[in-house]
Parts: sequence; C-alpha cells; structure tokens
Amino acid sequence: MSESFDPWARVHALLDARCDPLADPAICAWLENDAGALQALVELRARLAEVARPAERSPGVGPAELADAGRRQRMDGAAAPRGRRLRAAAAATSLVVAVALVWAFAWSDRWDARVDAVAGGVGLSAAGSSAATGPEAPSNGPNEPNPPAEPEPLPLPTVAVGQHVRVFSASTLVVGDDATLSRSQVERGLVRESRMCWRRSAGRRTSQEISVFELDLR
Amino acid sequence: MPRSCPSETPTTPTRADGTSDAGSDTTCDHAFGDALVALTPRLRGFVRRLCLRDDDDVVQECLTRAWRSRRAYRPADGRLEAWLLKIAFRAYLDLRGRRGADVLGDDDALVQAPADASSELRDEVGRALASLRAVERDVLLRFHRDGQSIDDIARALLLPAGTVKSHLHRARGRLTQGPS
Repeated sequence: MSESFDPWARVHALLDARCDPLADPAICAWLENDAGALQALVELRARLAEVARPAERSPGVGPAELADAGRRQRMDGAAAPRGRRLRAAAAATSLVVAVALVWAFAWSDRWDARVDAVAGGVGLSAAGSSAATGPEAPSNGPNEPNPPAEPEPLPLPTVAVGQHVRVFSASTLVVGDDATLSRSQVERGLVRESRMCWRRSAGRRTSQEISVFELDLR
Repeated sequence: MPRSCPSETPTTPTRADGTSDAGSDTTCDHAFGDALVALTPRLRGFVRRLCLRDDDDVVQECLTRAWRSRRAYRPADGRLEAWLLKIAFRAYLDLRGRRGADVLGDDDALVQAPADASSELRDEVGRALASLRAVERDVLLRFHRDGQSIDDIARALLLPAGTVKSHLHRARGRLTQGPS
C-alpha cells in the first residue's frame, strides 16, 4: 500500500459517489489489517444505512427537518400516501382471506368427519343435523371422531461420536430426518465440538456438513 | 506448532519445545470453544451491522473458520474478538462474492434483525444526529436520506460545493463518534 494512500479519504470519496466502500478492493485490504478501522467503518456504514431508511424517522431530527420533509411530501403529491393506503388495504384483504380459508378448512374437516361417520354406519342421526350445527357449535358426541391430536414435540436428538450433522440452514441443525437442534442450543454451547468436513454451494444455497464429536445436552 | 489458548481463557502449560499433549490440547480446545461461545453475541451484532441485517451464514462460517484455525491463533497477535471480527469480515466478503455481490438476496440465510437491535441502532443514530451541528446534520440528511447531490445541496444552502463536502465528511466522522 502506497504512502499516499489515505483510506478514510477514499472511503468518503466512495460514499460521495454513492458506492459501497466494502466493494473497493483497496479498502477491503486495508480493513483486513486494521480491526479498529474495520469496526469504525462497519459502524459508519450501518448508521448511514439507518439514516437512509425511508420509512421511519430517526429520533433527534429537528423540527426543521421534519417540516422540510413534510413540504417535500406535499410537493411529491399524494402518490406515496395513496401507495401506503393501497398496501394497507391489500394487507387487510389478505388477512381476511386467510382467516376465511382457515375457517373453511376447519369446517371442511368437520364436515368430512361427519360424512365419514355416516358412511361407516355409525351416527346416522348426525347426517341431517351436521349442516345446521355449523362450525361454531360442533357436537362432540360419542360417535364423533376426536380432533387430531397435537403432534408431540420431537425428542432432543442423541448424536453419537462422529455422527455427521448436515447444516441446511444456518439457523437449524438438522440431525437425521426427524430431529433438530436449535441455533440457540448451539450458541449456548450444547454442541461442544465440531469440525467442518466440507462445504459446497448449490446455486445460492450453501450447505455444510460437519462432524460432531460431542454433544453436551445440559 | 506451538499451542496457544485465547487470552480470555486460562492458559494450558505447554512443553519447552512448544508441543503439548493430547490432554492439554483438549483443555485448550474447550477453553477456546468457550471463548467463541462467549463472543458469539458480540459477533452476531457485528455481522448484523456489517450485513445491515442478521446473516446466520456469515456468523456460522466465521465460527467454523475460527474453530478450524484455532491452532493458528496467537494471543500475541491481538484480542480474540478482533481476530474473530477479521474472520467475519473475510467470510462476509467471500459469501458476498459467491452470492454475486448481492449479500442481501439470500432470504434463507437472512432474517430480520430483532426489534430491539433495530431500535438500538435507531436510538444511536438519533443521538448522533442530535449531536451534530445544524448545518452538518442538514447536509448529511439531504445527501444520505433525501438523495440530493452535492451540487443540489450547495445550491439550496448557498454554499460552495467544497464546503458542502467538508460538512458532509465531518458529519460522517462525527456520526460514529457521537455521545453513544
């Protein structure tokens, strides 16, 4: 790195040009050798990103800026508020549709259960009354099939020494096919020792396979 | 290769020739692992600001690399935290390159930052903005929040473009040195 290289001046020049300083090889090379500068630039970049967040106002901004922003909003016309209203209406509509679908599925389950019971020759009297009963007041007679039980939580896995654990996403360790370890368990040190055997990239997904030597389920 | 335990953890004695037996290796590995686990929240916070949101892939990649390189860590080279953050930065650059410079595009690995983390950053920025001089804050907000160009700001504030740049650079510098 040359003597004349002023990294912070270059950072400002890149920011002035609305470029990401972390996309600049010279800046990256500098940061890899200066942990203090790395933390400072990361902090600056994060704070500038927070300043640039359009939706929320940062506290501490004076009334002049708020008034200025209000004037700009009026000059921009009502497009942005109308867009927000449309998004809110779409979200509300989606919520209503989702609730209706859940209700319909719940109702269809009960309906199917009654039809099955009638077809099986048990509970003939329920055939005519099931439609009138409705989902709000379901009869729970002795011939009614019980609602499906909640699935029992999976037991914590027992990982043998040397067993391979494949990490499909960074938040969950999938052990075998039917048991998982949460990320918090890893963070709390429950997975005591591991080493990575190999890693590969499949498109945009990254998979890793590690070998666990010891699992401490405290 | 001589073994070194992280400075934050009790050191394990090694032989005069720099080698150590398997027992001390295990002890040292446990201490190193404990130190990594203790630093994970700090690492996660750094990665959150580096990637501008949570990125579990970077965190995990960093921890994995650190664990693989634990034999190479020398406490004399600096604090374990600084060493870890450098590894995180390298992992971030590698993953970003692999994702085609779109580090924010992989929704499987990225999750929204916790609300308290977002509000913490927002509060810090609010305090930092409040500590700026009015003209610096105005220039900073116009440039970074409103997307105005240096020339536009200069015309609006009736200032030379060079002065606007000076205010902008000073404001950026103070943004990370505020009261927070």
